[in-house]
Amino acid sequence: MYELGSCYRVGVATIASLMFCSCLAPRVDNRPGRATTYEDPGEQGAVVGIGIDAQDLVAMTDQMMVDMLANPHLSNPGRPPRVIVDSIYFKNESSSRMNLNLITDRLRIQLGRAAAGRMVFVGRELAPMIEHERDLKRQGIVDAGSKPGTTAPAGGDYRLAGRITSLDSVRAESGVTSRYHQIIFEMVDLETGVIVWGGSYEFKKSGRDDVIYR
Amino acid sequence: MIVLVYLLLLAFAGCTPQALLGGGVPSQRTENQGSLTNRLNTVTIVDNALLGGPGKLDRVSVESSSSHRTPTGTLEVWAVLRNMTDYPMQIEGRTQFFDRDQVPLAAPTSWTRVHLPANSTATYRGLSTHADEVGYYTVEIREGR
Repeated sequence: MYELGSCYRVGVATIASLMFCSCLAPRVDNRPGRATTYEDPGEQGAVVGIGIDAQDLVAMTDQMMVDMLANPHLSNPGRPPRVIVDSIYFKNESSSRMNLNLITDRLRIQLGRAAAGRMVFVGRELAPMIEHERDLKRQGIVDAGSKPGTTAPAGGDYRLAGRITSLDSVRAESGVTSRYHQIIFEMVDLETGVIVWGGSYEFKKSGRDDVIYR
Repeated sequence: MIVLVYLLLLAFAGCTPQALLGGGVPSQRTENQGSLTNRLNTVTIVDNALLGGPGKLDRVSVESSSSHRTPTGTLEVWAVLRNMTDYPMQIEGRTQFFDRDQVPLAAPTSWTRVHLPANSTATYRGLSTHADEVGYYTVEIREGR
């Protein structure tokens, strides 16, 4: 056994007091964490799973948009057809969680901006709003507005229908999951029922991750 | 020993945590692309990972490319690509369209994924949203992410 020097005793006392103080200090998670960053929605982001991600949605709607603009039934500057693009007849039968309005809203807006009069859009989802305003005008509660009235709201010539389906497979020993998505879009003639245009977007992803889609 | 430890610390400090940022390796421009006029109506590989470098073949080659008008007047561009390796590969392509004065028309198209089987070919296609206004195009190709 050897005798402890005075400096050594002071050091031990200091360390002991610091340890005691740390027990009294409030428990705060003071780690820096990861700063929030903006990401390009058209590129693969920091969190990618086997479901439908933002870059899939962007690529899918852009592809359908340019394809529709190349179809003479839907793109006619001389006599622009009236099209209805919404999610009412768009179904998700896949195992991926998805708000279908993400697809149809982006498609409608991008088409509307790019079409430049080659097709016109009917807001059928907003029919209650239009009916209410027309009633106010006909009852004389409000004036007729700055445009001449019509006998009825615009009818549509073509309407979007679509479906998302998927096929899953899982390797039990490793937990790797593979999911194939097929998204189909169709424009249907609202008088005859003829499908005048169809497009499909498919992709397959595999991985072993714990990504949650909401 | 202290010098070795110091050098090791410097080496680790130089590692950039790119994985934290997500996504793949940033693409790099190929050298000597020249002005826009030289690149109009061409296909450019913008990812050095697809290029072979001095004395080596490129991993992807452009066999042919062209364009034509659709029935509505929009421009369809295509490029036939060949995978020069023995492994399947994914590439992405996008197209920027210009009017007849070489002014860009809208943003470039979204990156479109094309699967290239080993030692085989596949076709990238791009469509414009504008019709008769389109005069020129450029296609960019990179490795799929």
